[in-house]
Amino acid sequence: MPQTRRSFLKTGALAASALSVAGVPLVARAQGGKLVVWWNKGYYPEEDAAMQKIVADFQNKAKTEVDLSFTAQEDLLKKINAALIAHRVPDVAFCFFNDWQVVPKYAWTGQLADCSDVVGDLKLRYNEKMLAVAHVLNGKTKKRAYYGVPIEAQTMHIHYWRDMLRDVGMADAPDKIPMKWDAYWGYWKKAQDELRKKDATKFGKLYGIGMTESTRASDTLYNFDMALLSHQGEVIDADGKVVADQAKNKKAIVETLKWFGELFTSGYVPPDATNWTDGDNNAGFHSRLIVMTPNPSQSIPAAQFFNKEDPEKKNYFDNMATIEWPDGPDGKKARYLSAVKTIIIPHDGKNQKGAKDFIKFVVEKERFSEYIKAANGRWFPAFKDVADDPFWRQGHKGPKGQKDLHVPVATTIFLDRENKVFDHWKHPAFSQVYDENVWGKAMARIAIDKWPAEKAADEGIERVKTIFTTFK
Amino acid sequence: MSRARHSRTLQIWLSVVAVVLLAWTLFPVYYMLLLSFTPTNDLFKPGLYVEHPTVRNYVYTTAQDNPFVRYFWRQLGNSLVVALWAMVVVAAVAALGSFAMARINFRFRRFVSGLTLFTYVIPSSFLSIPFFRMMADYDLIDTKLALVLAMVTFASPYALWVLSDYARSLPPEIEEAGAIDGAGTFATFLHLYLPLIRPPLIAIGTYAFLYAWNEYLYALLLLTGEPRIPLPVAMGNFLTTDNAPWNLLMAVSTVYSIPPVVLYYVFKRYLVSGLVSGAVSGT
Amino acid sequence: MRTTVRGRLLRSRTFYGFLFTAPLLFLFAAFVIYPMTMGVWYALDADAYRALFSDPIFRQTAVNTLWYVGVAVNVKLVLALLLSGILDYPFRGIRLLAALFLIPWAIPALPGILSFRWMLNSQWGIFNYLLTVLGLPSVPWLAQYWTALGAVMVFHIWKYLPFWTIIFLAGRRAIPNELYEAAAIDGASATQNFWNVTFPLLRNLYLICTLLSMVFTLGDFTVPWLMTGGAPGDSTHVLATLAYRYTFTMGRLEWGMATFAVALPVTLLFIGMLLRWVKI
Repeated sequence: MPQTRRSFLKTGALAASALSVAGVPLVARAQGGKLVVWWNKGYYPEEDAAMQKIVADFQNKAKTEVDLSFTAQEDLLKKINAALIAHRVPDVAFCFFNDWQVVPKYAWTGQLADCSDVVGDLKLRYNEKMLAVAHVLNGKTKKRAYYGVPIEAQTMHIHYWRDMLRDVGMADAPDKIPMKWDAYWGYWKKAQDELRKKDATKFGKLYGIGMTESTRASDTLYNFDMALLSHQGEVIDADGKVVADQAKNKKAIVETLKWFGELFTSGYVPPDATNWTDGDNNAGFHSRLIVMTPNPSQSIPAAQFFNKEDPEKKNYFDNMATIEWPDGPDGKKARYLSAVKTIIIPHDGKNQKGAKDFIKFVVEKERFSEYIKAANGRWFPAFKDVADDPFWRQGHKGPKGQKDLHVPVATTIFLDRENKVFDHWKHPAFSQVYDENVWGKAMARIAIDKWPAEKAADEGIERVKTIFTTFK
Repeated sequence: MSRARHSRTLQIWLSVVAVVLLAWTLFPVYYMLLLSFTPTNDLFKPGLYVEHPTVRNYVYTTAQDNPFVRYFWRQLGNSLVVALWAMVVVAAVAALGSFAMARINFRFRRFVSGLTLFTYVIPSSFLSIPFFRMMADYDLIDTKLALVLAMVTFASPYALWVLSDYARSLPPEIEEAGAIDGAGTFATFLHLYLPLIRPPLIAIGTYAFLYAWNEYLYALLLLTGEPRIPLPVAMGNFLTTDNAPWNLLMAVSTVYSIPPVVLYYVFKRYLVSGLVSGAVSGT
Repeated sequence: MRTTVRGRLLRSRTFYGFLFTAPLLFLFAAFVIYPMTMGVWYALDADAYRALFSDPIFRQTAVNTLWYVGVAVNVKLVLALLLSGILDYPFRGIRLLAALFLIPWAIPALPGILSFRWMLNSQWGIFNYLLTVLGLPSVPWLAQYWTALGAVMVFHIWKYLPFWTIIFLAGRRAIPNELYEAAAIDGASATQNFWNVTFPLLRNLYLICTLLSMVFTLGDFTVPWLMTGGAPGDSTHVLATLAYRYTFTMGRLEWGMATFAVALPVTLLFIGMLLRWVKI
C-alpha cells in the first residue's frame, strides 16, 4: 500500500533526525594526541581558575588538546570507579579520594599505570614522608611500585572559637590551652558547661566537641586513627599484616573505642555526630553551635577567609584559631597522619605518555605553587621547593596586621612534627577497611547499640581480618 | 455514594481530619519555602516563621552568584531537555503500541502485554548497574541520550497500559470508517486514532515528563560533570560538601518543584482520570 | 501456492501488530532484557554471595528492607483506603484537602527529603525546637536506628499516599450506586456499607496495589539514600542503597548485582502473581 510506505518513511526520517539532535555522543575519550583529564573541583573558584590556566599553558606548549572537566569529589569517585569497572577511562584522574579509595585497590588489580618513572624524576623535590602513599602492591606482579603521583596533603587540625572562650573568661590563645590528653578534652567540656551556664537560651544547643563519629564521613577515619595512635595502637604492621588482634593493639583499640563512646554519651558531642557527613561538622562549627571540632583539612578557616559577609575577616584572624592534636594519655607527643592527594593514570588510557608529560607540567614549581596557594592553605604541597615559599610559614596577613593562626600551624605539623601517611598503601585490603568505615561502625555500636567496647572492638577486628582474607 | 444528610458531628469530625491532613501535607512544603527565604545568618535558628525574610537566595541562584549554583541554568536546562524528550518519545511509543494492543488482534499480543507489565513492575534500580555498564559499552555515558532512553524505557509501560485501556473503550467503528474511505492502517492511526486518544495522551505525556524530571538514580549514574547533570543530581551534591548553604539549596528546591506542581494543576483533570483508568479496569 | 484470504489477513495483522509495537519491543529488548541478562550473569559469582552473607551490614540491610516494605506499604495503603472514603464529602475543608493533597506527589522526592532532613536535625531542626519549647527532651532523629528508619518510612508515606488514594478513590467511584442504595434500604450503617459493599469490590484492586507498591518499595533507592545514606553506622541501608555502595563507592560490581539478585526471587514471584491478575 503506497500510502503506508510513504508515511512509514516519513516517520523513519523524523526518528533519525530526532536521534541526532538528542545528542548522539561525541566520544570524550582519549584518542591519540588528545588528553582527557578529570580533575577534582576545587572549593574556591580561584583553584579551578588556576588549574584551567595550567591546562591552557600546557595546550600551547605541548600542542596537545586537553579535555578538562571538574567534578565534585563524591561524584568524581563514583565516576572513576564506574570508569575503571567499565574500562572506559580518562587519561588522567585526580580525585581527593584517590589515595585511599582508588590507588590501593586498582593498583592491586593492575588497572593503574606504573608512574615510577615520573616519581623518580621528581624524587629530589619530594617530601620523603609523603611518597609512601603511592608505593602500593600490584596483585599481578606481587611487587610494589609507584602507581600514582602524590601532590598535596592534608592532616588533622583542631579549630576552635576564641571569642567563645573569651566570653566565659577562659584562656583563648593557642599556647594557653593545656595539651595533656585529659586536660585538653576537659577544657572543651568545661567551655560547654560555662557557656551553657552563662546563657542557657543562647547556648542551650551548643556542644563543646564536634567529634564526627559517623560511618558516612571520612572524618571519622581520621579521628579514629589519630586517637588510636595516641593510644599507641596499630592495626597493620609495616609489612601489611594485620596485628590488630595482638594483645597490645587490641587493648589500645578497646581503649580508643571506649574513649569515643564515652565522649559521645558524655553529652559533650552533638547527638547527630553519628549521622554526620563530612560537611556537617563544618556546618556546625560555622553556625557557632560547636566550640571546637577536629577536621582533617584547612577547609574551615579557608571558608571563613572567603566569607563574603565578613569582609574584615574577623572570624579568620580574631575569633578562630587552629591548634594541634594533644599529647597522648601516656604523655607522648602526638604523631600525625597525613593523607596525600594523588593523581592516577589508568592503565587502559590511550595516551599514557601524554598523561605523564601533563602531570610533570602541572607540578613544576611556579605553576604548582600558584595552584596550591589558590586553595588557600587547604592543602600542603608534597614538594619541598614549593613548601619553602614563605607563605606556608607566615600565612595571610590580617587587615590590621594580625598574624595568621591557621596556615602556619599546618606547616608546623607537616614539617616539624612526627608524621606519616595513612596505612592504606601497605595493603589494598586496608582501603576496603576504610571504605566500609569499620571503626565508624564500631563507634556506632558503642554509642547507639550500647555495646561494650570489647565487643565492638572484636567485631571490628574480625571484620578487618575477614576483609584481608578476601584479598588473596 | 449517595448520602441522605450529613450530621453535624460528622461534619466536625471531617473538618478536624481535613485540618490535620492539610497540616501533614503542607508543613514540609511550607518549611522548604520558609528556608528559601531565610538569610544565611538566621539559618540555624529554627522557628515557625522567618524574622527577616529575604529574596537574596533566589537572586544568588538565578544570578549563579555562588559556587554551588554556578551552573544553575544549565542544569535546569538539562532537566528540561531530558524531560521534554522523554515526554515526546514516550507519547510516540505508547501511542503506536496502544494502537496495536487495543485495535489489532495480532498473534503475540499477550506476550507484549506480559513483557510490558514485567518492565513496569521490575524496580528500575535493579537494572541500574547493568544499564550503566551497557551505556558505558556504547560510549553513551555522560550523554543526555542515555538518560532519555532510560526514562523512556521505564515510563512507557504505564503509558502503554493507560492508552491501551482507553483505546479499548473506543468504538470499533473507527477501523470500519477508515476502511470505507480507503485509508490504510497508518492513515487510520494518524488521522482517526490519534485525535481520539488525546485526553489520555496528554495524561501520559505529563506523566512521562514528571517521571524524567523527578528521576534521581539514573541521572546520578548516567550523567556526571557539573555542566551536564540535571538539577536533582546537583542538589544531591550539596549534601556531601563542606559548608553547603542550605537556604540556597531550598531556593533551588523550590524552583525545581515549580514545574511539576504547575503541570499537575494544569493537567490535573487528564492526569487523574488517565492514570486511574488503567489501574481500575485492569483488575 | 494459493494463499487464503484468512492467511493474508492473519499475516497482515501480525505484520501491523509487530510494526506498531516495534519501538516498544526494541526498547524492552535493548534496555530491559539485555541488562537483565547481563545483571544475572554478573550475579552468578559465588564469591560475591559468600562475601555478602558474611557481611553483617548485609544481614541488617535485608532486615531493614523487609521492615521498610512491610510497614511503609501497608500503613500507606490502609491510610489511602480510608482517605479515599473521606474525599468525596462536599464539605469545604474536605474540598480544600482534595485540591491540595496531591502536592506531596507532585513535588519531586529530592526537595521533600531535603526539607525533612533539615526539620529533623538535632541541633537546628524545627521538631526538636518545638519539643524543647514544650519542655520535652530533644530526639536525635536521624542518629538513631529506629527513628532514622522511621523517617524514611514516614517520608515514603507522605509522598506516595496521595497517589494510591486517587487510585482507590477511582475504584470506589466505579462501584455502582445501586448497591449502596440497596444497602440503605436495608438500613445499613456506614461501617456496614464499607465491609459489605465497598471492601469486597475493592479487594482485588487493593491486593494488586499492595503487590505493586511492595515491589516498587523493594527497589527504592532515592528515599533511603538521601534521607539517611545508611547512617547511623550503616545500619539503615536497604538493598538498593547497599548495592549502590558496593558498586560505586567500593568498586565491587559483582557484590552490587548479587545484592539485587537476592531480592529477585521475591520480586519475580510478585510479578508472576500480577501477571495472572492484570492484563494490559
